[in-house]
Amino acid sequence: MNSTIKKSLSVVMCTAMLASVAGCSSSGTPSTSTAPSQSSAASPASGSQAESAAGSSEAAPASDGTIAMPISAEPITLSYFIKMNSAMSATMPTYEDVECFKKLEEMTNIHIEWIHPSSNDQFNLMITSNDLPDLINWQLTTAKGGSEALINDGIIIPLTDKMAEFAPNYTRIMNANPELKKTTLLDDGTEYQFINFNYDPTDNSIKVFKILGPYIRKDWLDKVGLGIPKTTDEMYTVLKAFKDNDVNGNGDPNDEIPFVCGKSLEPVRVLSGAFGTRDSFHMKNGEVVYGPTQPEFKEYLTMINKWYSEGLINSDFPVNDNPGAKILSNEAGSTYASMGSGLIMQSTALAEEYPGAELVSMPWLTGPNGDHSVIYDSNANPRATAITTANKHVEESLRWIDYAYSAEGSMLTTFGIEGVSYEMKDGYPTLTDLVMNNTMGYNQEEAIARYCLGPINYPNARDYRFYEQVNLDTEMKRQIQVDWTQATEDICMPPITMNTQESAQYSSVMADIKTYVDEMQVKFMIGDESLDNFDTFVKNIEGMGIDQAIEIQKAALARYGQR
Amino acid sequence: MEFTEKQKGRKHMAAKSLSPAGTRKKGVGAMLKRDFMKYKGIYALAVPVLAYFIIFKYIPMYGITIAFKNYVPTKGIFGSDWVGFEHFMRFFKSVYFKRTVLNTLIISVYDVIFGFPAPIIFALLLNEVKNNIFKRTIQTITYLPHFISTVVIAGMIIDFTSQNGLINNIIALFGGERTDMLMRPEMFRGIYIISGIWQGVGWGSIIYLSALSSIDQEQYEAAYIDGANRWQQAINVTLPGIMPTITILFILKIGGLMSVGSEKILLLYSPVTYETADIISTFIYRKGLLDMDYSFSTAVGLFNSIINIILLSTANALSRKVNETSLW
Repeated sequence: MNSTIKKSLSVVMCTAMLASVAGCSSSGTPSTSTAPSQSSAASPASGSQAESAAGSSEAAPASDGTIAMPISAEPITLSYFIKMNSAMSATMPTYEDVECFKKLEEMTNIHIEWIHPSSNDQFNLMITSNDLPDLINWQLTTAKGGSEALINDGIIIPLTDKMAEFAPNYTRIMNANPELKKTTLLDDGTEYQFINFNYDPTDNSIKVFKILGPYIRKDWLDKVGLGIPKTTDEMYTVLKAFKDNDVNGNGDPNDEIPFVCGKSLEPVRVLSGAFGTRDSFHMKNGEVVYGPTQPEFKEYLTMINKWYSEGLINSDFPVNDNPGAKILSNEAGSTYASMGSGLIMQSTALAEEYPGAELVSMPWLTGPNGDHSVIYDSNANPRATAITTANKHVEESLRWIDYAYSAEGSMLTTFGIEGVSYEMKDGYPTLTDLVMNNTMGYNQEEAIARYCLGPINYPNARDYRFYEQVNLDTEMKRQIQVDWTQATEDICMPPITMNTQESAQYSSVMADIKTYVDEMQVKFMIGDESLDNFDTFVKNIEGMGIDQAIEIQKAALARYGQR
Repeated sequence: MEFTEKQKGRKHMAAKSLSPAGTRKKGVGAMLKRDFMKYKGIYALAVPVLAYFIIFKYIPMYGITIAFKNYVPTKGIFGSDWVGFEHFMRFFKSVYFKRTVLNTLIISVYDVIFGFPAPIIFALLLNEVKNNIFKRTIQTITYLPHFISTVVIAGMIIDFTSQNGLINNIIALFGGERTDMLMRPEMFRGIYIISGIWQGVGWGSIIYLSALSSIDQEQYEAAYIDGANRWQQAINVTLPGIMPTITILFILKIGGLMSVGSEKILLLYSPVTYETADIISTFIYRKGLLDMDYSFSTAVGLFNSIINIILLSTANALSRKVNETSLW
């Protein structure tokens, strides 16, 4: 090869390499286009609202809450940051394709640009990026510094003075349920978010559905001739019976695991509610206390230690990362998990593999002192929608969001399109076969997801009749709700908020204490540490400054009460 | 004689660089300039790499200042307030400061004592193998685990060490008692180190094997003539031959003492084993969950890096004194 060819070849190769390196850069994240609103169009609209209080202009809502359509005279675009539900992501790229949103866009003249984060980190990235979308849906209370920090740092706006006028439906429902309303506010009463709940339109009431709870093998109970246990003592008898007999019928009396728990420790942790305590802050006689320093906590640890030493809990529970496998392999007798992916899925799979096997829900246990509480407050850290400081159409956005809480909006978002995904049969919105038994290759959840939001945690007033049809359609599911909703939430702390100084002090004290408590409670349970040393344990916690943390919680609780 | 263009050009260059005696400018600046003019092309090649390091590694270092501030993402780095050493004091005052630092150091030291010699010994042994096919098969088999991701390795360890796992089955076969090994704090370090050796010994031996192959064969022959057996040859010829490689890699290892890989520990530890398994990174990780504290984590990271630098410089200086080999 002569030198010219060599030279040109090397130039070509170099360019090719450079080009491939340049092509490696990741494609930029989708830019959020805040509405290219013509400000001239916006001001006449808001100007006319200010004039006509009675709502003769198309934009003002009528007094009974029906929102006049279209919401905006000019087509506007709002960007919406919201996590996509997995049933929907299986069949479509964004919420744009959901029928109810398509209809909503036609009616309201507001186009939504959906931004679906693929991981939790994206929330933090979005906040720090100075490129905010118009609407955010997230567990706002879990942001650093809580929702207060989000407002103070100029990410979201407070909505208190606009709620009543521009979101009448949401306001009406919240006012009818003051306890729930309190959980959504800041300590000074500021409103800023829209949450999701199950709603009964006939009496404006909120229905609560429980999706996590304990369950047990019914066929094993029948084999040992015992009923479903209701107290911790009865549970002990049942577990012992499971252990001593060959209840799974494989000839080996020693391979049963009466109660299975994984490294999350949740199944064991929730049992503390039966003693009126838990491994963190909780309420006791109207006061805030720290569970691990209470004598009830010692009683709870003693019971778990007893169960463990007698082999009633799987010996590797602090390191077991797949407790569900033990249920499916016909080795475990009872545990605590979710309704859908736990109890229902496992019971179907189990019955297929081992005919006769039956998993049923059991009620929360009552402890020796009569305590019968769950440990998690059902209103903590809700997913909610807030309006950001980048939003240039605040009033339109509020109306758009509020529509989902109105009578028609609730039907549209919960059930979808009348005549297509649901029909009114004797006044009861019934989901059609198209979604319940679809032939398009989707499972039920995915089919529903193409038309409406159904069970998805989206800020709307979910008509509870949806849950009735989907989650209460079998006797088993109804029993689950009966069993799991009985317990009280006596010991649960309401969703209090701490301000920035409090947060900083709280986290610096609690980091050490939490490590210590996590470590020691497992040691007590498995017997590595004798329960006689419980008093030293309490002393050490007090020495680490738990009092400061309790004071902070007390102050936050007092502010909560004033909301 | 006829010169080609190229030869004329070279002569011209040569003539240029030869200045009359005594008139050559001295000093680093002038030297650099001369060097640059002579080797323009090579410097041009180096520019992108230098730019990369300056832009992506050195300039962002100003971000370390958030260790001395209360960083709030919306205020940005420059807008956040100074708090001096508050975060460092918070870390030092923590009840678990001593334990986490001790655990980090102990695991690293174990890694150096057991994990460092392992590839060397393995390379020495493999070097003695005569059968080439066997040698190469062993090499391939042993360096494969290096490519398995940490998560998969952790999953394997959890499975093998469980009550009914492989290791316990073997123990039971010999009449021993079954234990959940990952629940015993005293076993944690052993499991961590041994699995690390298993994963890394093959890959780590590659560089030693290449160093071994560069040892002059004549030295072996001379030793053989002097009457040395294989063992004496290994001690007196092989080891000194690869000593420079060993020293450099040792210094690098010391530099990594304080940054024990936390992913594997995170996957394997649990509250039961905190007392031996909780290291600085895992403690900070949990603390980060309670409160997304960028400043605090940066402060601790800075603390780690400073200790690392001190250790690295010390090891380097010592090595230069003792061995005349050093990184710088």
